Amino acid sequence: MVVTAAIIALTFSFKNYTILKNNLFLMLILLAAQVALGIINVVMSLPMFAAVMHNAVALGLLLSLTSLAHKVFNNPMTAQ
Amino acid sequence: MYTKTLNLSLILALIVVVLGAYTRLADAGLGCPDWPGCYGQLLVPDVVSDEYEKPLDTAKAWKEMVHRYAASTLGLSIIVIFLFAAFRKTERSQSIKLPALLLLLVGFQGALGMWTVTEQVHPGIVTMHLLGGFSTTILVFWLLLNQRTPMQLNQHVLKRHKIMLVSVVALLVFQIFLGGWTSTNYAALSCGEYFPTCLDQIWPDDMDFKNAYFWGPLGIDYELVFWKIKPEALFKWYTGLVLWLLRRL
Repeated sequence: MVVTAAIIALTFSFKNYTILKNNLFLMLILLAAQVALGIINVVMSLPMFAAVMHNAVALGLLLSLTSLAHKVFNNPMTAQ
Repeated sequence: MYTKTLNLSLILALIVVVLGAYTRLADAGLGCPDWPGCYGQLLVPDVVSDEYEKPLDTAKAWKEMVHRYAASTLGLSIIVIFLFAAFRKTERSQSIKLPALLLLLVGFQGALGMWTVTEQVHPGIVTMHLLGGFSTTILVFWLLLNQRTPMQLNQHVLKRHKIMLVSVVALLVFQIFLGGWTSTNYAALSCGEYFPTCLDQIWPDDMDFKNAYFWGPLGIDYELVFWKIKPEALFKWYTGLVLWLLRRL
């Protein structure tokens, strides 16, 4: 819940950086998928596919944040 | 060729992570009770001598070995990445530091993979192995992004937004650690099929916090071990970290 709130808050603070829009959108899609998979895992007692996907999407979410961070920190405009 | 190797490594890393998760979730982590061979063989053998404590389960052994083959291939491709960077054969310039770190990381991952087996799927080792796998993938991805034409942001990113981004990454990594810790302790179902409550209670009375921190080995019959508590319920730790981060913003 804390991480979900944090990611949504991050999206709000970054909403004015229009060039990062696609990144943020992908991040939110992955977040929604991850929450859904988490609930499926609990209420259905860990179906194998959902359990493996919960791991894969966690990595995907981290990769989407990595891509965001790469753009933010390797940007000549912000390096000062 | 360097960028191509990075692309290949990224795909391999994703495959290896998913195979690793599958191996863990299928309880196949000790499908082969020895390392690097499987019951002393390169391939899963048909029969094994009874000197091994664990009887052969061919299906589990193959899951484990496929993960090891894929991981070894990834290890080789990371050696190639390092060599390209060391001999300055990269398309865009790349300092040797990160490829060197990647090589160390993947070597350490190999060691953690070995310890996963020799320490009998010790939850601490397996969780570190998960985080190591994620780190390897992220680092390969970062090196790949370094090869792309940098995208010009048309505006400054405020300092507090940068801090926020880093904090969210830290929170997510911590959440992934907790997820790994839950899974490697076989605790994911300890709250039953109840959602969002735990066994129909918001806060079960008999939560065993002391053992939630237990770092010890599970033993050879690891599938039989279930912990009573959900490590995710370690709110104290968690809220502490969140508050600390909020104060920094």
